Amino acid sequence: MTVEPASPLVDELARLWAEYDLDTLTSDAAQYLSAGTATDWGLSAPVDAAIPPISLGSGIPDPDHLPREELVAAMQRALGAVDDGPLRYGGAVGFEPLRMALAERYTRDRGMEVSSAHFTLTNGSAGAIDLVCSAFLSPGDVVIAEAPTFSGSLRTFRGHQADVVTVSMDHLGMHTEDLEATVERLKGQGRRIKFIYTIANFHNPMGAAMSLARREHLLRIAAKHGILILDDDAYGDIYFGEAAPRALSALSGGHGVITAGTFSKMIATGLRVGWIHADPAIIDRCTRMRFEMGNSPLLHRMLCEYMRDGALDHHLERVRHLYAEKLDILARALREHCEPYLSFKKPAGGFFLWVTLHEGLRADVLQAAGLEEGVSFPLGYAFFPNRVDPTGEHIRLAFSWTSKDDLVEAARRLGRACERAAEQLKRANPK
Amino acid sequence: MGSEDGGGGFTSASVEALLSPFARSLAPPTSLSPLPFDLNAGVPDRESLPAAALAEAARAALLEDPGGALTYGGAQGFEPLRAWIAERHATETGQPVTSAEVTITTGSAHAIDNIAATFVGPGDVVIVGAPSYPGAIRTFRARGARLVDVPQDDDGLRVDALKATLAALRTAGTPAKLLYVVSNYDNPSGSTLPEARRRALVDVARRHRVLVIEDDAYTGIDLDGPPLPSLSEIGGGEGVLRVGSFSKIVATGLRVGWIVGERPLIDRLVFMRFDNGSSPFVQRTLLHYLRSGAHEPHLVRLQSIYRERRDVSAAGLRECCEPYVTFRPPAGGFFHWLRLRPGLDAAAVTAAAARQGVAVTPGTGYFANGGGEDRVRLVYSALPPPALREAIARFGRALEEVAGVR
Ligand SMILES: Cc1ncc(COP(=O)(O)O)c(C=O)c1O
Ligand SMILES: Cc1ncc(COP(=O)(O)O)c(C=O)c1O
Repeated sequence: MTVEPASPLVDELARLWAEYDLDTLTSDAAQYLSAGTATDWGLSAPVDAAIPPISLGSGIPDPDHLPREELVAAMQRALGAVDDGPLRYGGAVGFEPLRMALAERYTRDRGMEVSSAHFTLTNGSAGAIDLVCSAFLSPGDVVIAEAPTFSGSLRTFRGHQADVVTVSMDHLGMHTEDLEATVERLKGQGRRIKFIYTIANFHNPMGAAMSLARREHLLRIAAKHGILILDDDAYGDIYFGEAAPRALSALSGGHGVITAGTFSKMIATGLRVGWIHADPAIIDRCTRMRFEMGNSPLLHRMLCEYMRDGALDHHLERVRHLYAEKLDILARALREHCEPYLSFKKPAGGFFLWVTLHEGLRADVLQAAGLEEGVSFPLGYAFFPNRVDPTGEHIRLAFSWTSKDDLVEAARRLGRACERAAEQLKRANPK
Repeated sequence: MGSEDGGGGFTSASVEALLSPFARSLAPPTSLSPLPFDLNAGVPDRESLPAAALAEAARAALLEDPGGALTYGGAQGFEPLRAWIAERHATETGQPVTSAEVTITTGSAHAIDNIAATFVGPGDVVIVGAPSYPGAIRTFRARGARLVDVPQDDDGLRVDALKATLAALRTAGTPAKLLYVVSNYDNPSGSTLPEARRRALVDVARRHRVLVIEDDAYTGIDLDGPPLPSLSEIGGGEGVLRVGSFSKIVATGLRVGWIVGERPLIDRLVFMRFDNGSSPFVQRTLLHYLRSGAHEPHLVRLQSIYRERRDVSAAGLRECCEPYVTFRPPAGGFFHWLRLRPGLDAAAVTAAAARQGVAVTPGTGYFANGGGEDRVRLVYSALPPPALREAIARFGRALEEVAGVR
């Protein structure tokens, strides 16, 4: 039953197809996009370097502290269920008991009375953000985002043909004065702003937790103008001392706030289970734009089993300590090996250290020098929509994935890279 | 914090105003039937689900390489699983494809979504069969496609009509962009395209430069011998995106599907993934299962289960329903597509069947642009033979009731 090789038809068709341009078929959105970078996918960029570099690029959990035994046990329990639910279509919104378990956590941890109807399960929080975009964005709509912000989400907004307009931020989160002015300016231009995208808790890449005052200001501005807030809360549960100020969704009583959540950073990125938390009217609109017949109920049931006996809380306790310790180790080593070339403010949670370069060092030069010395990291400007970092030179160092020993060694190598880059600078600009 | 409490929050109406036009135009997906005899949901037999083998595979995947199973696996999917799919595709079609020409999706429904997002913009013409799989209709429509349908007969899509439609569209200045077709064991029509039609279809699609989406969701559920050459094979690997799934041959709950096609097309599909890829844990579990040696006998077992059910249901339909319905039993898949005797209406028959405790699907949901009032789809895959016989006997009584005999 194989095709005769090179039939006249195939020849003819090959000729016809030779003059055909893929771009005539590709949708407007797809034409506008590139493949995305490793940073967009939360991974370290592959590098071609003499010394295999230690990566400070991956915003993913520590591979030696994944709760694999517990997950195996939870999976056995899920698949041993008397019903065949784990292996059948689970519906578009996702397994109800898992949504219920999330509602209970939100009620307990955030002081808000919510039910499973306030949640829909998605393919990670990246899938949640994609779905919110599908439900709310039309080409030409404006999304306001912090600068810097998570580059993967920028790619998603572009893929939905939105215009991204940025608002500046600092270690207390989004500058809401700037937001207000930006909203008014855009409104004056007749632009339609659909949502304000924020990473209010332990920002990627800045590490900042938005202050309570700014949260309240943000909520007022958004409500006044009828703009939804999309709070990307991938890191809210990874805090080192105090939790971040009260969640935007809790502060607002649920009004006008969509939260994207995920098990990726709490447990493991390979699960691909996240959620949208919002008012049921918003959940309903998102559900309309699902075409994949839901995510795997097998995963949902496994996670439900895992959470049932308090394993998640226990795990979170452990990893909070772990990441706090790793941050301390990296911070201490950077102070020891890399001053005066850089400075940073230690975040109170999350996976990232946002580092400002000094002494005229440029991020791209330092990156190249880093590869020579055997350390890799993403450049700050990857986190700005036009790949321009207006606030100076920055790099982002992730401390979550890399082992403690490697963190120290990476800082040592980075120190040498700083010297090397400074040397180059001196040679290029002899006074 | 209800949405309707007038407290300055978002009401249904205010959310509506914010929605994109496509989101606004869509109804929520329908849910499964609560009736005792469900001949409605196109799902595998419960007992056949390989839960124990999958549990073992999941364990192996997690313990063998926890870092790999539990860490982002990339947008295109787990390479060894793509290689497995490429190899099977090569064996089936004689086309040597590599893992680079395969992308993994969250089920084949998601594959169709990925294709629609990548290739369909507002107003683009997409050709679908009349009837056609409603999930595909809904997905293309959400991207703003103008759906043009081409009639089907017992042998599937009518390629003569397709030719005329493509020519007319071109003359009208709105040439078609995509053609969506289920060439094996169609949902809902159960039809299989004969080889001559396949060749003619590929030929005419090429002449009009229409990209063919070949949805092979049911391939593997082959009840009368191996399938005919796929459109992808006939096209020599060009101009066809072949979509498939592990839903029907392993379990719908896995949510693993795939697309095989030319590299530039696959690359574009991968660009349009914004979800950080489908679960590497599930993909690795599936691959462990596929390599365990359990899959091949499972497939043979499925074929014999569904062959028996098809035959039992066909005999039952002839015995209990024959004067009121005509049909051609399918060569594979899960569905009988019944034509009702003139004067019988699908909505009335479905309602009467529900009163008998039997869920069937009226044909009207399967047409992009209307039709199907004289059709009913009946799933034979999900119930074991005794229940199937009983369900069909009841369905026969429903038909009699609507025909005014009872
Ligand atoms: C801020 C932020 N949002 C979303 C994501 C995507 O995570 P998920 O694995 O839940 O899709 C990431 C991952 O890097 C992130 O940093
Ligand atoms: C023709 C066809 N394609 C695709 C699908 C989607 O299947 P899945 O997403 O489970 O692979 C179905 C399911 O009913 C179908 O009938």
